[in-house]
Amino acid sequence: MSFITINELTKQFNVVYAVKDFSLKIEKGEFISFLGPSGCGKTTTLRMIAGFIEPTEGKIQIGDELIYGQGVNLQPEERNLGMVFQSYAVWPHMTVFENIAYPLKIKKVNKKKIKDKVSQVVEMVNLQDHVKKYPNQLSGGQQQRVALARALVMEPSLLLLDEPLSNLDAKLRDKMRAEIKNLQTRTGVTIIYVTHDQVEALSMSDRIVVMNQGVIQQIGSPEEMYNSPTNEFVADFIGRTNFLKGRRDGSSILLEGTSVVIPLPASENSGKRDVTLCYRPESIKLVKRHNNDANHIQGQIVERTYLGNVIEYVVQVDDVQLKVETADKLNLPLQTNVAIELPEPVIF
Amino acid sequence: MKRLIKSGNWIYAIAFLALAILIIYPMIIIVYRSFTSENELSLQNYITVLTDASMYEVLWNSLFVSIISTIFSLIIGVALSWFVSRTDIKGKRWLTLGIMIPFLIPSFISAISWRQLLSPVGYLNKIYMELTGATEPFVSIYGPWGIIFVMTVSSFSLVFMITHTAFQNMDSSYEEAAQISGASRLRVMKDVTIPLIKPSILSSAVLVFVSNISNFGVPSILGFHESYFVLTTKIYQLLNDYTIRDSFSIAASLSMVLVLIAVIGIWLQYYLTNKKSYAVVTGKSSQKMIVNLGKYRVVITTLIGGLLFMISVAPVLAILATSLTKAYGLPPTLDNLTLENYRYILFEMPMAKRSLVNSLILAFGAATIAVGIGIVLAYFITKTNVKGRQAISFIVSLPYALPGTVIGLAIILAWIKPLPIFEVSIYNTLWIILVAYVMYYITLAVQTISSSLIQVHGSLEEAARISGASWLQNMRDIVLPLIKPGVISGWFLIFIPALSELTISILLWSSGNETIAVAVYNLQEQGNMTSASALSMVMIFLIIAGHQLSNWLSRRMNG
Ligand SMILES: Nc1ncnc2c1ncn2[C@@H]1O[C@H](COP(=O)(O)OP(=O)(O)OP(=O)(O)O)[C@@H](O)[C@H]1O
Ligand SMILES: [Mg+2]
Repeated sequence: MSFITINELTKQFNVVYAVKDFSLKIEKGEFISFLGPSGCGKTTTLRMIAGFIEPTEGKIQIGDELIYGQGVNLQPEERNLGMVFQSYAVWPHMTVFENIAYPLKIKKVNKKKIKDKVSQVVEMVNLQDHVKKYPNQLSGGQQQRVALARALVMEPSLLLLDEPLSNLDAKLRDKMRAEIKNLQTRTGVTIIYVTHDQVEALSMSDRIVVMNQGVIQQIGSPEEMYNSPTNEFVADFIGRTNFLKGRRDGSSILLEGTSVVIPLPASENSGKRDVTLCYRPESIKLVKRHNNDANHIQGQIVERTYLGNVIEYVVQVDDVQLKVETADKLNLPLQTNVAIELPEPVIF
Repeated sequence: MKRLIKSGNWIYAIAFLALAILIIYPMIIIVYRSFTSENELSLQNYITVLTDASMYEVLWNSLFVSIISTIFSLIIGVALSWFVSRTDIKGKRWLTLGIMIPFLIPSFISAISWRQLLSPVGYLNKIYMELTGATEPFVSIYGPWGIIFVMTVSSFSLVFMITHTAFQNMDSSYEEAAQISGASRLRVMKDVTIPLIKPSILSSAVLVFVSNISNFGVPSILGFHESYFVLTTKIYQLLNDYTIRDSFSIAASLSMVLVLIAVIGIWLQYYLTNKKSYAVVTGKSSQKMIVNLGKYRVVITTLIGGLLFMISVAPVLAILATSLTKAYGLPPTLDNLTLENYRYILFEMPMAKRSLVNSLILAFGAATIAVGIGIVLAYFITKTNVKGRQAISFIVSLPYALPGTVIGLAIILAWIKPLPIFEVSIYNTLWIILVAYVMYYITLAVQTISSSLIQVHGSLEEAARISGASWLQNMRDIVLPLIKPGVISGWFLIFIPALSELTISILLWSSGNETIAVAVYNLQEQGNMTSASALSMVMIFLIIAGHQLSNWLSRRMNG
C-alpha cells in the first residue's frame, strides 16, 4: 500500500470548484511537485492536506492513519506534518533557536534533547553561526533555512512546501533548490512541493502533478511530462512547443497551411481526422541543404534571437511559422533559405 | 524684493512668525510662569504644589482613573478586535458599527448621558427602584468608578481600531506555522498571536492613558459632585478660584506635572513604534486563521451585541429621550413627548443660538487657518533641505500631544495682557479660542498635508519651474491641485473635533463667546437637562454630518 493516499479530494468555494476529484498515491520518500498556472488549485490542495482548509469531499490517508474523510477531520496540529510557507513565517519575536525549538517545546521534549535535536538540524541547514539571532537580522535565504529547519525538526512523515523559493532572487533560488533536494536525499522525508515554476518541478521531482483549473492533467516523471505529454495543456505548460494543425489522410498527415505531408506515426491510433501535432523547438533540426527526404521541409529564417548558449530561429514554412532552437555554432543570417527536419511528433 | 517674492521666502517668514506667536510664545510663557511667584523668579509654586498633601491626592486620582480605565479599555478593545477579526462571530458589520459609535460621541456627552442613566435619579436607577421596590439606587455614576466606567466606554474603540488593524495586517502564516508545529488554538494565541500584536496593544495603551489623563469633561461632570478631583479639574478649579493668591502660577506648575506625564507618553510611543525587532512583517496572505466558535457562536454574538447595545446605543437613546421630554425625570411616554426643547435652543435661548454660531465660526476658522499655515509648513518640512526643519515638525506636533487644559492655560497666560510689540488684545473675545484651536489642531493639518506632499514627485515641480513658473505659480498650478485630497481631509480632521471641543473652550470662554460644548456643559451644570440634551443631539448631528460630508468628498475625489 502507498504511504499517502488521496482520494477524490474536492473543494468547492460557493459554486466554483477550486479542486475537483484530486486522487494521488505517494510512496514513502518520494518528491512530488504540484505544478500549474496561478489559481489552478495547488495551494488549496496543499492546505487541505495540511488541515487548514476543510475539503468539500474526499479522503486523505497518511500511513495507516486516516486524517480526513468518513467523519474524521484531524486538526493541523494533530497531523504531525512539516510545512514551509511562501512568506517563511519565521516568528519575528523569537530567536532562530526558539523558532526551531518550538515544535519540540510544544511536544514537551526535555531541554537537553531539544538542544541536541536543534543543533542537529541547524547544522543540516548551515545556520550554526546564527542561532542566537532574531529573524530581522537574517537574509531572506537564511530565514528560508530557519523555516526549513523548523519544519524538519520534528521529523515529520511528510513535508509540505508552498512556493518556498518564490521570494528569493534567481541565484539564491538555484542554490536553495539544490539544498532542498540534498536535504531530502539525506533525511528521506516525503515531500510535496508546490510551484508554478516548471524548472523547479522538472529538476527536483520524482513525479510531477500538473493541474489546471482544479483538475489533474497528468501525473508522471519529469521525463514523461516532457517527452510524452498527454494533452495540449501539459505540452504547452511544460517547456515550449510548436503546435501545428494537421489533417489525416489515410496513413499520412497533411500539415495545415503547408504542402507538407508526413507519415502517420505508429503511436497514433485515435482515428481522429483533425489532429494537433507538437514539436519541441530543440527537437527540430536545421539543415543547410534540402536532401529530398519526406521529412525535410523548405523554409526561410524570418526571426533570429541570440540567447548565448542557444540561438532561436523562427522559420517560415509556407503559411506557418515554427520555432527552432539550435545549440550548435550554426549561425545563420535572416532570410537564409533552410531546410528543417521534423522528428516524430506527439499527436493529440 | 522681487526675488523675495519670486522665491516664496516671504510666505515661509509669515508661517514661522505665526508659529512663533501661536505655539512657541505660549509654551515659553507657561513654563516661565510656573517659575514665577509675585513677579519674581522662584520655585515657590512647585514648593506649594509639592508640599500640599491634597495635590498628591489629585495626582493619585488622575493616575488611578487613567490606569484602571486604560486596563479595562485594553481588555475590552483587544477582545473585541480578536472576536471580529479572528472568529466566525456573526454580524461583524453591525458589531463594528456598535464599536465605532462611542468614538463619534465626545466623552463629555457620554458622561452626561450616563449621568442621565445611572445617577441616583437616573433612568436605570428609577426603573430598578420601581421594579424591586428598593428605596436606594442600584449604583451611582458619581465618583472614581463612574469616571473609570465612562472613560473606558469612550476609549475602547481606539484600542479596537489599532489592534484590529494589527490583526488584519498580520500574515496568518505565522499562526499556521505554529499550528502545524503542533500548537493548539489557545497555544497559538499565547505564543504567536498576542506577542505579535503586543506592540500595537502597548501603543494603544499609551494613547488611551494619555488621552484619559488629559480628559476634563468626564471627571468634571462625574467628579465635582463628590469633590473628587483629578489634575485637569483641579487646574480648572484653581483658575476659577480668586481667593488663592498666585493661583494662575500654581496652576501653571501643576500643569507641568501633566506635561511631564504626556512627554513620557510621547517618548514611550516613539520608542515602541521604532523598536525594530518587533516590526511585524506583513504578507499578502488573504486567508486569516478563523477560530470556529462552534456551539458558542450564537451565545457569544448575542452577549457581545447586547453589551455593545448597552454601552453604545443606550446612552444616545437616553439623551434623545431626555431631549424629547417636557421635563427631565418624566418617563418618556407619548404624552410627555415634545419638540419644544429643540425649538427653544434653536430659536429662543440666546446662549444656545450663539454657541452654535460661535462653534461653527471657530471650527471653520481654525480648520481653514491651520490648513493655510499647514500647507506652507508641510511644504517646508517635506520639500526643502533646510537644517532644523525636523525641529519645526516637532514644535508643531507638541501642543496636540499635551492635555487641552495645558494649552488653554498657556493661551490664557500668553494673552491675558496685550501681546507685546503688536499690542493686540484678544482676551475675553471669541478670537482667543480661535487662536487656541489653531495652536492645538495645526499638527493634524501638517501631518495629512505632509503625507500628500511626499507623494508628489519632485520632478513634477521641476518640470513646472523649467516651464517658467514662479514658486507661487508652481504652488498654485501644480502642487495644490495634486494635494487637494490631503488638504480637504486635514480640514475635516480639524473641523469635526473643533465643533465639540470642551477642554480648551471651558477655560477661555467669556459671556457671549460660548461654544456648543460650553453651552451644553453650563446647561447641565444648571440642571437644565432637557436643553442640554437637545443641544447635545444637535452637536451629534453636526458631527455625523461632518463625517458623512468628509467621507463623501474623499470618495468622490478618489474616483
Ligand atoms: N477562500 C476562498 N474563497 C473563494 N475562492 C477561493 C478561496 N481560496 C481560493 N479560491 C479560489 O480557488 C482557486 C484556486 O486557488 P489556489 O490558491 O489554490 O491557487 P494556486 O494554484 O495556489 O495559485 P497561485 O499559483 O496563484 O498561488 C482560485 O481560483 C481561487 O480564486
Ligand atoms: Mg498558491
